[in-house]
Amino acid sequence: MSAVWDYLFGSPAFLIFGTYTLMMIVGLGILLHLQLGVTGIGNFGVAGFWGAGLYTFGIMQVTYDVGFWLALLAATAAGGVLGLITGWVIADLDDDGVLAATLAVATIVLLAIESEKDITGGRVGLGTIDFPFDIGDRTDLAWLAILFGVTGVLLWYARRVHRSPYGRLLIATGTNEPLARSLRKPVKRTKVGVMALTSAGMGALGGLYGPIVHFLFPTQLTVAITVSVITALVLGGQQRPLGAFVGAVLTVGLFDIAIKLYVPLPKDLLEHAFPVTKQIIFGALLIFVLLFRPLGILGGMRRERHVKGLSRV
Amino acid sequence: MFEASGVWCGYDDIDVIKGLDFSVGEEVFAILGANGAGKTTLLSAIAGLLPLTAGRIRFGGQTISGIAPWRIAALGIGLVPQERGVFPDLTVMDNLRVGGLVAKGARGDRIDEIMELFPALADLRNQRAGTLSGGETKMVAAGRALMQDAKLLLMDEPTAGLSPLYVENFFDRIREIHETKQVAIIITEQNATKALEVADRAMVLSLGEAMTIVDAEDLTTDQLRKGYKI
Repeated sequence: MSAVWDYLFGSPAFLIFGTYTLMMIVGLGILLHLQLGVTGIGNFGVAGFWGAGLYTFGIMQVTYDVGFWLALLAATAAGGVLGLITGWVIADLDDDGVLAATLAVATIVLLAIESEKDITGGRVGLGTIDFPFDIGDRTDLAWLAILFGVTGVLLWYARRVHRSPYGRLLIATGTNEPLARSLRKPVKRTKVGVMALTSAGMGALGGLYGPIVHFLFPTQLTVAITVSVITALVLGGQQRPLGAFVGAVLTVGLFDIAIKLYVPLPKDLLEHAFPVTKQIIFGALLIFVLLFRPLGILGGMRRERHVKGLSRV
Repeated sequence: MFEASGVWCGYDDIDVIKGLDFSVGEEVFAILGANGAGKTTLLSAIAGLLPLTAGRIRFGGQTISGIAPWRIAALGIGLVPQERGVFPDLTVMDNLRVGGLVAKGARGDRIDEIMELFPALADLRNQRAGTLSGGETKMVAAGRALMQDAKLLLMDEPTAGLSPLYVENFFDRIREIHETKQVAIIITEQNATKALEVADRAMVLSLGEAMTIVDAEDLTTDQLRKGYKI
């Protein structure tokens, strides 16, 4: 029994860090679900909105010595404002245009962080960011519990949106925008609003990631984050709130936790070939799912669950 | 109630509607014409989905040309498009609810009224609209537009592609909507015979121009043939 325990939890630091990554991908995936799976906004710049929050948090904490809550608020605002501007720009674009524009936003964020060395530290990095509390050995675990809680709140919110009149409007916009334009609600404002709100959430998640890594580097904001989130969501089911969770467990959970911790790969292979191989497999998986099961493992929306009868309108 | 004067509109540099003048009162007004006559383009322009290049459209004493489609919808103009008239991932009930999203009054009562008008929808209320048959889809589309508190309903070829039984039933419903809910209706149709049975007046549209506007019962076969270029 003890041997099994040691095998499973013998490297708690790695396990906790892997679970941090898992929770981060799940959280971002739930927010992307609201953008892509519900409202039909194909955001290919998740890393940019998340990174804007991460770096805003870091700059506030390190450069301006601002407290945790204010820094987190600034990170949320940074993601939200970036989402608001991006939403306004992409609201009238077609699907291809939205993908290109959001990828461009993420690239601009990355280049700005790399070039504005005085503020961001450039490629040298920005640190140190500490946890807002210290309870000794259990600090990591406590932070993980907080991330679980945040992810749970996001999941609860996404499920609530599905059941609400606002959610119906988002789904209407996502599935038939030309018709939605003839409804009594402005489609453009709706899209801008959902983009701002969900991007603010991505910014907040970025802020919460700061204390985990302690040091911020531009390499943390590459397109790999976006690919991981999209792969998880599409594999699990982009139209379902739980889709990101199922997909993330099967992708990030497998690669960043199970294989890294429990498969005895040579260190050199683990550090160099493994991350690249992971991205290749994610890309192939994405293509495979889109070709053969475009609605993912969980399938399409189950709207009928939200319809209780004629009296409840 | 509704007035279009000197309306020009189209796509890119091509004018599809060329200087139309007509008005619609509390009635069923049929717009007849062959493929390419400009019927769908005209309804899109009235709903605000297509900008006018010239002219003016007024509704309820207010100029509506140039304002956003959702504001036009809020004024009481409901559109039932020929194709893609429902939200496929939403259930029938959700389609109706999203139509009545911000309408005043009791949405529950209005949904009951829609179900009375289209009884077949009651059994389908939990079904995804994307899985419905053509006729059922048209009913949901019309119901959704009615949920918007529509005072003027724009119906673009509502019976296109339906079986004869559905067509008969659907035209009965159109007349019923007009009479029981006091909703004015502009309906475009290729099926002139059926449309004229329910319409009070009709306009024959040919290549974007009004060939004739007369009481439905006075429309002659010759006028129709000229419009349809037969």
